[in-house]
Amino acid sequence: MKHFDPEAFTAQSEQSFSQMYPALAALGKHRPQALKDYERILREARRFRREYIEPHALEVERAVMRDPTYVAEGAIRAASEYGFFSTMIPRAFGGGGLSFGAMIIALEELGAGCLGISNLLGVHGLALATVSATGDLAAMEKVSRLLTSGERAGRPHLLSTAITEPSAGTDVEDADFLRVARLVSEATPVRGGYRLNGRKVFISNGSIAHTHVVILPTDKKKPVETTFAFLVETTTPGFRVGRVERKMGQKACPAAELIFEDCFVPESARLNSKPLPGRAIELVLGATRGGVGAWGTAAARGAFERALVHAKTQRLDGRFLIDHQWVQIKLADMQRNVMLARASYVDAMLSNELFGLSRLAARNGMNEIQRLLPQRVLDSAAVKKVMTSRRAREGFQAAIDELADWEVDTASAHGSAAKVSCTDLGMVNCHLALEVFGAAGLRHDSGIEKIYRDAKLLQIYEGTNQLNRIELYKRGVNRGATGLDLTPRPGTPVEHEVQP
Amino acid sequence: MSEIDLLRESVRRFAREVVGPTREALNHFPERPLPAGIVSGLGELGLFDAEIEPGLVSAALEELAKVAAAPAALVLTHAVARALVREAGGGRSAALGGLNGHGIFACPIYSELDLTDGAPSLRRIGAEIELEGTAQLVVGAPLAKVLVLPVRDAAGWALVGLETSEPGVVLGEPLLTLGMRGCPTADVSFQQRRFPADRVLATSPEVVRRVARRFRGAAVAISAGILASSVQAATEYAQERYQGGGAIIEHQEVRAILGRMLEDLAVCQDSRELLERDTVPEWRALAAFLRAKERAAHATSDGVQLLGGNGYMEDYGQERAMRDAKQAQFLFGRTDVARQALAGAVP
Repeated sequence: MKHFDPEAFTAQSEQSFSQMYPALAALGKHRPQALKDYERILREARRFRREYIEPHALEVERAVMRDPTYVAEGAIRAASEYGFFSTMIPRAFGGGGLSFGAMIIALEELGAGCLGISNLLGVHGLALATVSATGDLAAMEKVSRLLTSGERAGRPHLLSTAITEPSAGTDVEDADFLRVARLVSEATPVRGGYRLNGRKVFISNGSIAHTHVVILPTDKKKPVETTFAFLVETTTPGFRVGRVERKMGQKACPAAELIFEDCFVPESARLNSKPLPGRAIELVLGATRGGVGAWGTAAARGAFERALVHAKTQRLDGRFLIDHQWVQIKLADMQRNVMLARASYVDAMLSNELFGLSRLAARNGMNEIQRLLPQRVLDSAAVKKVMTSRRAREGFQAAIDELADWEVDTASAHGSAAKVSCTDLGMVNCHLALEVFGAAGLRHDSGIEKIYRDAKLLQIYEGTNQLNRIELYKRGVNRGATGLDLTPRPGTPVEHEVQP
Repeated sequence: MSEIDLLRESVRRFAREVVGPTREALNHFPERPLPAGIVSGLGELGLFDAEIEPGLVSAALEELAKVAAAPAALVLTHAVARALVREAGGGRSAALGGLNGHGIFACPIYSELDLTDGAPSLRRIGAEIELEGTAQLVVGAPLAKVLVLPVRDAAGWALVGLETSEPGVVLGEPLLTLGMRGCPTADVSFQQRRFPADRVLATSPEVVRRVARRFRGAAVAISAGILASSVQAATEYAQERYQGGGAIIEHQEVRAILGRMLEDLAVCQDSRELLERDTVPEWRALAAFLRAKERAAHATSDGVQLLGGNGYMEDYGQERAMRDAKQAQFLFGRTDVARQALAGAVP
């Protein structure tokens, strides 16, 4: 008996774009180009999933189980052929020029095949979003060019984002918590640059990335006022990769410790002029948490699709599982959970386009200009000069500053709501799917127990779901409240801003 | 000290001194070899003895599962498979003399044993039987001397007992599973091979229902043991981990999660105690059995959550607890299938 049949499985995932995303399809009548982009990336992601991910996901995982330092080079090479590492890099910087929204549609499709491989690709989204939110377009251009030229040769210049510290996980995800964090890492200002010391842990792609976007304070006693993003190359003296973690799941994407020992970086390695905590980090997380929502949906969908195939091909008490009413109800619940989760992250994605980071990237008709200009023009020195000019950088920073507080909060609240809702629903579907499978689901070759292990991480990274509830409270429920003490103190009313 | 307390103490010491140091290796089976000394140690404790009672098994399994659940799953499977042979009277057969001897007994304990879906088929040919197909996820099979398997008979259901050394019994490679990774498990195949007809132990699934009822407490003891260690690790972590300006145990949400985990632990322990009584009505026993296993599976996921990124890594043991508890939920089959039987057990 075959425990997992990719061909039968593929037949179950043949929903069209408009079946999957009716709201976006309806919206597409007014935004035909965006609709075309969404449909194209879904097609490409589906093809990559079928041709590479489904046939290889389990063998990659077993290889990592044997050796946690195993690198899924086949997946990296195959994804490079599709340009997935540079999909959302602006065309002016050599990338695919698709929106963040388009990218997260791809992340759902890929994640339904393997969350680990999808994460390996998606952490670039976090790194690129962080670099772009600093407004340092020269750095963005440099990183993007390295990435895209490597990608064309099948060896993309991989990125990671290093935020978490050994004693500060939740604390580095929120400004209120950051204020009281016990940090061990610091970028001390020295002549000509900074000297980096400390450790970062659980860094996705940390052991395989070539450039790390490292978030560090210049004074760890005042992290809110002094935290910046630094670009650190793997070859920089004083930098090394520490242990590669043994994780429960998402094994295709390694999580590693990064160690900084008197690691000197020049002044130019610091990306942002203003501290990151506050607006910039809120904008990044508002966007990327929606992406984690897409992965939560992917977990819900991967579990559902496998359960459906199993139910159609296996029997219980003499009848096919799918002919049992309790299984039909479970499958309906799973489908419903996928729909609910997807609606939630699409809301976050659109909120991000209206009020968040994606709006900044698209300001002044930038997307349209890039779409219309030929690539040779976009690659010209003149365009590079304009794009990386001080004026462009200041313009980006000004655009960040011009956003109203309620706009940043709205994007952030939607991101957190999607992150929590989708990832919780992902776990719910894993439980339901395992019930449909029964004992057969406990075996690795069924593919379903892997999703159960993979999905759990989604409730933890990009801020635990507990922290994201606090964020939702602060950004959406009771704007301006702090998250450290959720018990209202008598006599300390919270001021409420009137939202337009 | 009562017999049960003596056994608890011996198992506790064995778990701490012998099993504990090998947990990492157990967790990586079958990618790494099974650590030496575990199976023989369990035998020396008398946990593979023929006459061990479900109450004693239950006490031993809870202590074992606090340290590592995989050996507990092996002991439970053996006890159940052995009880099936005894209950079916298989030991009386001369041809099956081996079934009364020493050695480990295996069965597909995560399946609905009274159903035959996906099981090998049995054909009677005179004084012989012919088996074809694959018995899946037979727990303990790579170590076992005896296999106890439900099969599909022309008349419906049958239970067969075979020795692993018999010609025609093809053992698959040890399987990688969600949890209980140090409990060797494999598929067992038959290719139209004939065996003496007295290998058929029973033809009514009532025999497995009777045995499963007796061992529900032992199954819940595994869930209780896993969850007890998860709660303890989560509490210690919450007291030590500094976040948000203090130990995380000071956060109301963290306390609420820990509180829920303790509620679930109480459910597991109460259920185990209830299931050890002889006079519990069937509907209450089945309800306690299902509830405890399900609650432990969800609570251990909270145990991972409480430790955040650390909980997801192997070092802290919480991820193992989450996987093991989910697998333990499938002891004797799916919750939802058994739940339908509960509806028929209305007092």
